[in-house]
Amino acid sequence: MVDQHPRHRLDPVIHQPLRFSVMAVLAESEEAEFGFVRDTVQATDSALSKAVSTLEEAGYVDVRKGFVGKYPRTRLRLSRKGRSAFDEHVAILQSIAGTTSRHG
Amino acid sequence: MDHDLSAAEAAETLSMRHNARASVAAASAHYAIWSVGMATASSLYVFALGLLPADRVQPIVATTVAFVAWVALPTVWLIPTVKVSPLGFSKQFGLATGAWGAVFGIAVAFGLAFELGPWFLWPMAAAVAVPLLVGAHLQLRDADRG
Repeated sequence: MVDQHPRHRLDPVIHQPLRFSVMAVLAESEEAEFGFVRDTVQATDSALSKAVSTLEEAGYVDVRKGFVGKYPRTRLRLSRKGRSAFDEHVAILQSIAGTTSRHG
Repeated sequence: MDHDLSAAEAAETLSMRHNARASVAAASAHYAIWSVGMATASSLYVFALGLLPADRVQPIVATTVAFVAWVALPTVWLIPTVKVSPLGFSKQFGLATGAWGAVFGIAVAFGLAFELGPWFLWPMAAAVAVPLLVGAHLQLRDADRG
């Protein structure tokens, strides 16, 4: 029996480039402001909102809305499920990068 | 995945993770700057208390007011500029500020209540700075690893 290629185990919710970037930022953070994530991943507000909604629906990202003084602030963080899914996704990517590069 | 993901594509995707780590680390340097500001202010305050005559309240009050004003500046600056907390930050920052609060509290409470003078307050001025400076050092070290 032939082993299934690791790409089949990649999470399609995370694999989309913008969503992967968002999760990568949040994976390094306890919590990050929407604006910080937007600037870091170089996305528009609407593109990031859409990406965050998808990740939130998947249960990967928690969204917290609040205020600092008069100004609204949206803060994002990875859920436990999201962190675990991201770690697994990264491990699969590493195996693809490593395995394929070794075998050409 | 509909197509074969090449090693190069996987590596390129993984590189986004390194960029994210670097961005978070760079943004979190604010905490280290705040810690150094607080360490300096509190150390000088405790040192100044050792210079003042313990039986005169007015200079102590004036020094305390100056200290609070000085401390308020970096704190007011920090809060609106905090956009991200790096992973593991809360525990590290909590330990550093908790230890600072304990040493600072002991220095000021004992120094003033028992009029202990420079022999107690000046070494404590150095001790007060240590927790926050260690915290800032660890923060910057982690940022360097980013």
